[in-house]
Order: sequence, then structure tokens, then C-alpha cells
Amino acid sequence: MKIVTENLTHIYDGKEVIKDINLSVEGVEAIALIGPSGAGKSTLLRLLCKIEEASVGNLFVNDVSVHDVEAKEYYKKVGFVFQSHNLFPHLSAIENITLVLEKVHKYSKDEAIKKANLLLEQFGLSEHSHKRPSQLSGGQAQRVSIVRSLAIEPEVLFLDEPTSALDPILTREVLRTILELRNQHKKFIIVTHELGFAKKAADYVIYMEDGVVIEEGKVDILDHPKTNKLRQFVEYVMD
Amino acid sequence: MIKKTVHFSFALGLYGLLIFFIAYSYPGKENFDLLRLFPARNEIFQSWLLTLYISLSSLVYSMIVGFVLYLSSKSSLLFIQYVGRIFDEVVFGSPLIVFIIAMYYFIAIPMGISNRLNVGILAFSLYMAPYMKTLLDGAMKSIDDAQYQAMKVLGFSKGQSYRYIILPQVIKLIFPPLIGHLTFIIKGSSLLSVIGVRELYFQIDRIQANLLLYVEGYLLMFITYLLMTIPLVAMSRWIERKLSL
Ligand SMILES: Nc1ncnc2c1ncn2[C@@H]1O[C@H](COP(=O)(O)OP(=O)(O)O)[C@@H](O)[C@H]1O
Ligand SMILES: [Mg+2]
Repeated sequence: MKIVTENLTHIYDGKEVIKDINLSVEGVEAIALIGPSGAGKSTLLRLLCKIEEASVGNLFVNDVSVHDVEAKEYYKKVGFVFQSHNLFPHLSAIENITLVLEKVHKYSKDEAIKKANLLLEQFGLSEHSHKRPSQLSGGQAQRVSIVRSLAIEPEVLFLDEPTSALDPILTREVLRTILELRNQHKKFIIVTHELGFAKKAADYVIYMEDGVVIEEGKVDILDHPKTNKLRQFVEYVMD
Repeated sequence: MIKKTVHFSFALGLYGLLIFFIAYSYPGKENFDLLRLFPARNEIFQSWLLTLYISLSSLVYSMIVGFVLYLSSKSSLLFIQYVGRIFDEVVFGSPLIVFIIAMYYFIAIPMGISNRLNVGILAFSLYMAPYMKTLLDGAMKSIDDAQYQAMKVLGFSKGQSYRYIILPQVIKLIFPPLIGHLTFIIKGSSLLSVIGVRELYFQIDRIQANLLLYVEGYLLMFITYLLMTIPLVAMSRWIERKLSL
């Protein structure tokens, strides 16, 4: 995966929440985006995923200019998992997946069902495939929504604190699912507060504070931070 | 289950008693004979059909106008929003009977339009439209931002989003209150009698006056209206159960 940003700046209500970020990351598989709340992590992710257009600067995901690419084309290549599952409530787990495959990605009905079943089985969700979201636990629903994003075989998957709405036990099952993505060499960027998990799941870490990237590098910077700010953050979170 | 039936029977019994008491204490009870309305059965049946026709057409038209009002409330032009909102407020604030009379005598007649039935249906549809709009608005609001974001990042086009995600949810939500509105429409259609539309109330009212069968006439009104509304309500409950699996 390749992520490049040039002078990336984003302004909300006259306030800079992303301040001139210049990233150039290449040849990594999984990036953990960490930092205190309000640092701008979600905003950065939303910009990279074209949910919002950046106020200033350029950004490229796998050499595609996020600004110039058509949304329709872009969303065939990337997926996004939100803090809470946001499955469509009137559809069963499997229908949530097949609808995207059939209508957006033009699979035949049979192909879509086959693929969805395969994925649900792979992630241990087969028994829930015909349940509505309201009949799933929060963890199961979030796992289904990860599977939904994966079904389209995205080049990059963005996950914004996918466990923040879950209790510790459910969190663990979702994190296991994400580790499974890692084993399959899926490329993703995840915002997370679970540093122990970040060490296992990511090979690259970006630490942000107050709209600025303070430190970035291979995942071992979590064990050996170069900046005081990251050291303090790691100590604080690990406590 | 048995317990429920018993309770239901007792409640019915109570109303039976009440009806019996009213009938017993009514001075003209010796002459009571519902069958004396029988010769007028054709006219009554025709008017019953007309009431159904008025109700169903008004339902359809009010939904269409309600949808237009809904769109106007989402317009980027503030002027259009106000046009819709003023209409809403006028309707919410005025009695149906006044609305119908004003539409017919002060707007339609001066314009040279005198088809009572069509004007009546139009007035009634316009009157119901803001209620339909409110219904649609509530249902649309139940689809939260998270879902819209999901539709976007999953790559659904606008048309697909409406067809496969928004509308199925909205229809499910508005169906039960829509039936409520329909029963209101059926009952309210009786007010079209004030401009001389020969619907059910108008017809029975005339017949009972001609034949001096007031008690029988009003009883028949109860029965004929309930024959429309009760099955509708039962049906909507049934469909509601089916939908919400
Ligand atoms: N939609 C928005 N409108 C206005 N301000 C926002 C919006 N989203 C986020 N912000 C502000 O931007 C800053 C960064 O937010 P966010 O990216 O959510 O941080 P993080 O995900 O790191 O907690 C915060 O100060 C937040 O209040
Ligand atoms: Mg956030």
C-alpha cells in the first residue's frame, strides 16, 4: 500500500484540524493511526476515503489522486468500517453483503451469495447469516460489516476505531477478526487505542497530536519512541 | 389465549348491554325497523362505493401532494420552503369543513369549475397532504447519517440507495400510520356532503329524512362506515406483523 499526502490541511469552522501533513508511506501492509482523541485521526481517515474533500493539499492512495478520482470508481477500490457497525437494518447479514456485490459490483445473484457465504464462513459468522442486525451482538454486527467491506476486495480498507462502541469481550472478537485480515495480507489503515493490538496487527505506526504527525515509522517505535510526546502517550495508554 | 377471548367477550357484552339499554329507553322503539331502509339499498350501496372511491383517490392524491410538500421542505430555495410551510400551517390550523367549503364556493365556483366530486376530492387531498408530508418526513429521519455514509462508501448510486435501502425502510415505517390516515380519510369524506357530494353520509341522510327513519339511518351509517374502517385496521395490524418479522 502506498499513501502520500502533500501539504494536507483541513479546516472545520475556521479551525485547522489537519495541519499541513506530508506523508509518504510505501511498501507497508497495515498502518495503525494512533493519538489522543481530537488529534484529527478520524478526519485524516475520512479525507483519505473521500468521505470529505480536503480543504488544502493533495492526497494519493496507491497513486490514485483522491481529489480527482470519481467517487463511484474510488469506492470500488477502498472500503471503510465505521465506529459503529452501520449495517442496513432491514436486511439480513448476508443480504447486507450480497446487495453491494450485486448492485454496485455487478455480480450475479448466485456469485454474490456464494462469495458472501464463503466470507461469512471464513470469519465464523455462518450461523448468523440470516439474522437481521438487530438480532446480532454488537461484535457480530461489526464483524459482518468488516466482512461487507472486504467482500469487494478493496485495495485498502480503512477502519476508524472499529471497537470503540463495544465492551471488552466483544472488542476481543473484533480484534481477532482484524488480525485475521493481517494474516491474509489485506492492506488496511486502522485508528485504534489498543496499542498492544496495534503492535500485532500493524507494521507501520503514525502518531498524531493536534492535527500534526508527531512521529511515524515501523511498528517498533511503539517500544522505542523517539519523541517525548509518543513516549508519554505510550506510557499513558499502557498504564 | 382463552383468557384473552373471555376478556374480549366481556367487553363486547358490555357494549351489547349499552346498546340494549339505549334501544330499550328510546321512545319510538316499537316502530324500529332497519329493513324499512331495504328499498333504498341500491342508492345506499352506490354511495358506499362512492365513499370508497373518494377515500382511495384522496389517499393517492394526498400522498402525491404530500411528497411534493416534502420535496419543497428540502428545497435549497428558501422561498419554496416557505410556500410549503405556509400551506402546512393553514391546513393544520383550519377545520376540514371550512377548508372544503372555501375551496368549493370561493375558489372552484368563481373559476367556473362546478364538478362537486372532483373539487371535493381535490380539497380533501390538499387537506390531507401536510399530514402525509409529516409522515414521510418522520420516516425519512429514521434513516440516520451512519446509513447514508455507509451507502456512500459502499458505492451505491443515489438511485440505488433509494430503491434498495431508503424506500424499503420508509415504506415499512409509514405503512401502519398510513392506514390510520386512510381511516381518517374515510370518516372525513362524509364532510364532502356539505358541498352536495352524494357520498354515503349524504345519501343515507337524505333517505332517512324522506322516510322518517332517523334511528335506522344513523345506525346504518355506523355499520357501513365500520364495515370499511375495522377491516382496514385489522388488515394493517396483520401486515404490520408480517413486515416487522
Ligand atoms: N464534522 C465536524 N465539524 C466540526 N468539527 C469537527 C468535525 N469533525 C471533527 N471535528 C473537530 O476536528 C478535530 C479532530 O477531530 P477527529 O478527527 O474526530 O479526531 P480524533 O478522531 O483523533 O479523535 C476535533 O477538534 C473535532 O472537534
Ligand atoms: Mg475519531
